[in-house]
Amino acid sequence: MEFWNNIVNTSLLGTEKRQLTAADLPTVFEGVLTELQQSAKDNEEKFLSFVAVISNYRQAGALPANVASLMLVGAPAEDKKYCSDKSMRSLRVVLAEENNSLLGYWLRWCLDCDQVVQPELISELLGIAVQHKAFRNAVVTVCGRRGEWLSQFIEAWNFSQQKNPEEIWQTGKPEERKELLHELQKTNPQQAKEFLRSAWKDEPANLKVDFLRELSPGIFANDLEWLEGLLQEKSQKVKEQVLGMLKRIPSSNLVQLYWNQVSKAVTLKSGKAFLGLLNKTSVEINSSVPFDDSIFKTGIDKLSNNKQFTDEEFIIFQLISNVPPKKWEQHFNESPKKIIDFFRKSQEKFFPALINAANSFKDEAWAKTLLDQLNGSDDTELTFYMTGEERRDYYLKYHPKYLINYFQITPETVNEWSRDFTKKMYEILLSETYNKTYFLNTIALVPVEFQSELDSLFPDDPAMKTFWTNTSEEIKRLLTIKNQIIQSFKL
Amino acid sequence: MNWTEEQILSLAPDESSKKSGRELASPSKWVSLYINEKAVWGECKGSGANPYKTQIDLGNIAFKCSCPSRKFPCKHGIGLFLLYARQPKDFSQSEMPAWVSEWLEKRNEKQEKKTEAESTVIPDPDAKAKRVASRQKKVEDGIEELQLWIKDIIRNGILNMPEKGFAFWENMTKRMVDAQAPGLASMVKSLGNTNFFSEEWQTKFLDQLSRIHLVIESYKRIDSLPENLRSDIRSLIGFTQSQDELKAQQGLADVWIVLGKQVLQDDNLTVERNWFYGIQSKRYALILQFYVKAQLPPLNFAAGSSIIAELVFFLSAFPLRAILKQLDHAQEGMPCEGFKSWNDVMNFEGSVSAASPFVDQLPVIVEEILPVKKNNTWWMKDKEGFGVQLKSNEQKIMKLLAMSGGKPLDLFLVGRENSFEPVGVWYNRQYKSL
Repeated sequence: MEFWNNIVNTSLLGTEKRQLTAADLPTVFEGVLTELQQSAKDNEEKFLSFVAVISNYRQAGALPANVASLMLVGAPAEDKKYCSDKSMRSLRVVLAEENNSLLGYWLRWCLDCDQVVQPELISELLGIAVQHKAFRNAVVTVCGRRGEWLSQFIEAWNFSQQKNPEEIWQTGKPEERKELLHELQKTNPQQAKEFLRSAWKDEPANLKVDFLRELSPGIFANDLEWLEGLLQEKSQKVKEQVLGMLKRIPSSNLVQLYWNQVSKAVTLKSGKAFLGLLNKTSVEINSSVPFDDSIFKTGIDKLSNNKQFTDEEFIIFQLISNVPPKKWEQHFNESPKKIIDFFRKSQEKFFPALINAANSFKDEAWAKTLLDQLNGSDDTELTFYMTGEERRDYYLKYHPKYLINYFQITPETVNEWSRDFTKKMYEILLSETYNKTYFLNTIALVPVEFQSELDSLFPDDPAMKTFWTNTSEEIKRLLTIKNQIIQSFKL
Repeated sequence: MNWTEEQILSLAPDESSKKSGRELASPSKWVSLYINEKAVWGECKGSGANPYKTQIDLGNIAFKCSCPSRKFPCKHGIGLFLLYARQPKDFSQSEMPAWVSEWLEKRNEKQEKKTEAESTVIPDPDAKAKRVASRQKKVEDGIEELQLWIKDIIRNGILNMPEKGFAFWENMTKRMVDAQAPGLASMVKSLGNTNFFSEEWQTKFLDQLSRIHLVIESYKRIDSLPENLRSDIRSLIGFTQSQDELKAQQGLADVWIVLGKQVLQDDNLTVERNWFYGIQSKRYALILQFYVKAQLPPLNFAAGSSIIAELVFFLSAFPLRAILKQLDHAQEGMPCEGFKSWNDVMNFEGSVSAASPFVDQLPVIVEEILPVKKNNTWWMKDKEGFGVQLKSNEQKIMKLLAMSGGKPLDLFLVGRENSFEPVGVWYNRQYKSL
């Protein structure tokens, strides 16, 4: 509407500078304009009255747009059954509760029953999947073909469509690029390194650090030159990150430097004991060995922060922590078990440095041997090699409080606890925490029948009684919802 | 009627009450749970020695609780109502105890007294005439000032309007409140709330500015206008029509489908726009409710349900706003008939514009329309290939699209010209709010 543009332009400039004329308007308005020119007191009144007439004219004569050529290819029919109305009701309750444990549980039921969610909640579930990666696979499956069809309209929902890694690296957001590096290091570490090298110069320091954090130091083991070259970077943060990585690569020059120093300071000494009847081997620490100054530029502290150690001993402690424990096997020509034994008997205070080293270099043989010796004290870092089940049993035996943070519920990992295990877990939780979140976050793992046992768990500690009264009520309520989920799918 | 969880939670005064209400929707929290045809009541374990007594009037939804909370309804009321909606079997049928029956009786008595008092008050005609004249003078003075202000804007041009600070709009809004012209105050406020970041802000601004001008000019000539239009203009200035006088008139009895509500927050005041459609009369109706924070709206309507009721429309050239005169009972929703094409809607729009230039939002049910994408905007296409643009957020549009799956749907929308906001949709023969 050209004439409306003329009106808008006049209004922008103001009637003091510009007046509407008959030439600005279609002939149909000539009469109205003439009449208003005669009756209006001033230009402003004339203009406003005229706009009022035209606005009404425009509204009265509005026409729909011709969109016949716009098409929408419909969603394909589902090949799975929709979940029942009852299941939808239970999903609405779960979504209103904002309890991810129960949401994971609902999704698991829907997956197990090979059903799909009814369309009205698809967009809400896809929105949740954007925030919670753990739910993505399950959400994509339960949203069925309709969900897949809907995802084409929102880029963030398009989880299933694989983007070209090159495109993500070139044009993706920092989070997407970090995720890409993280994934590539498992499947194609060479490409991960190439991507990093290609863009290194242009990335800001903070992002460089973030990228390096996504990568395991091990992938640079055969390609150390580039990583070591990064020690020349201007940014202190980048240098620290690179040093941290080099310290975990046995073949790096840094670890070699540490080894050259520490291998001279730590030796084995053989002697006799029990009136010369027994051979005795001990670890000797020679604090007087001179240290190369260059190690102090790599994060090794010169001064001790522990009363038990002199400054020199403290330097040696740090060096032992930063060399692969395997090196001692060759150095002393002894087994890990023996070496650990020597340390514990003659240099007990240096023993934790071996634990640090086994953990830093993820040495499974050493970790196992150390755990055997430790019997559950100060050893949680060494469980890195265990499977989920092994670690759960280990924690249950030695470190129950660590179990609190152990269970992350995803639709794929909902394996309900037995009543006995639930009881044990709840007893542990009640002795460790006042935070009901731990109870609520694992609710999907608790069997519904456990409701009847909740009252029997009343803690003796009077301070815990109020906490448990409220929390057990909350648990009962959530277990009722859990039961509704079960019943709705069993229909 | 059956209340859904969504509907019940919409009664909660805030998010924390919703959360706490959900937590209390468990039988284990309640010492007793009872129901009869008039009320639901129960006793809830609390921190005090005695349980809290919570009750809900099912006739005209209202809550009472003996807890000390200042929120209304409190978490116990929400919890009890949710529990009733989820697990009605947990409630035993019973005679009402004294604390419930007395409350219901008091509510009835209060209502009767109010009706009686209203009917027995004899206004002093002289005092009323003085009040009317005084207000008339104030409104006229205010209007003169507003007109000067508008003319200044248009003389200098609207180019720099986006740079005007809050005080520019606020001062004139307050001036109109002082002039006892709340309708004009609201129009000025709305002018200041123009989205100046939108590409079309000039058109929106100009439409609203000319609308204010039209109201002012019409008011100056009010005696020469037809009665219906006079009523519209007085209403736009801010004069109210007496609801008692309206209720005394014959209403329109029908089965009214509740099409949903739009809730607007204006400072501490909540404005609720409840839309209805009469099955037999084929008329749309709008019931407005105003209430301040932490208050419950006087009436609660569940989208998708129907009410058998008599509504009285406010006098208007295009009667849309109504009040509830008589509510017989609520029932499950029923199917209803809508426009078959956008051309039909536009013809309807044209007839509305001919009757009154002041209608800013039109309610329409349109049958079998399909969402289609044009560049980055969504449109609803009818069977004839014509469409209007959808004005809504991404979340609503995606929900609508998921339900459509590429197939046409029947929709209830509110809007003007060729931009409409979807409010509800019929899906699997059930009406769903968006």
